[in-house]
Amino acid sequence: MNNRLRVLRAERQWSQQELADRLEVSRQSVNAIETGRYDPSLPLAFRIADLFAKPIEEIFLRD
Amino acid sequence: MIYSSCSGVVSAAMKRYSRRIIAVSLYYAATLIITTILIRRDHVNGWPVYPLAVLPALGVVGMIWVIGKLITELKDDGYQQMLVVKTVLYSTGFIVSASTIWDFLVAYAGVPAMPPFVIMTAWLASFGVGNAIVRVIYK
Repeated sequence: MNNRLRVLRAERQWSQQELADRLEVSRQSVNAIETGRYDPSLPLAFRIADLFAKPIEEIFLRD
Repeated sequence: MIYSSCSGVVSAAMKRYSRRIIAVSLYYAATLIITTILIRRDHVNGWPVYPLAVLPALGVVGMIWVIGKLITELKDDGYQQMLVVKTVLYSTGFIVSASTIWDFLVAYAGVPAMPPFVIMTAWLASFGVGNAIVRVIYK
């Protein structure tokens, strides 16, 4: 699944570690999601959507 | 086991894992020494030998429980949870395969049987190798 996480993070000038801290996950997890190697669980996808104040479908895109 | 630069729930889960694994390791070492001394010097005889012999094994069972507990406590970080599960799976698959092959060699080719406790020790040690493999695959 594609996602816009890297773009949204860059817009806020957050590092991967800062984003990881805000989501309460590891930096490796953020990296894995950004690079498309791991699709987040639904609860984590909602946390990401809440953090960026956007609907899930504006962050995660179908292939 | 495992992972650096973790934050939040992952870091907390890893700290609890470290504390628990140290505690059960100390229990294992203590009961192993006590049991060995008591039984080899014939301080214990008869039926009490059985529960005494089981005491160190409970430490190993505790280690398995600690690993399972880590996996459940990583539920809020599915990626880290997946890495731990894969590490345990690779390690277990390798050790069970190797010990099964060895058992058949013992049965049909006259190879000497492995001494007791080797498989359990190798299984725990294999987590290091399994972790390295998982890190290379999912770096």
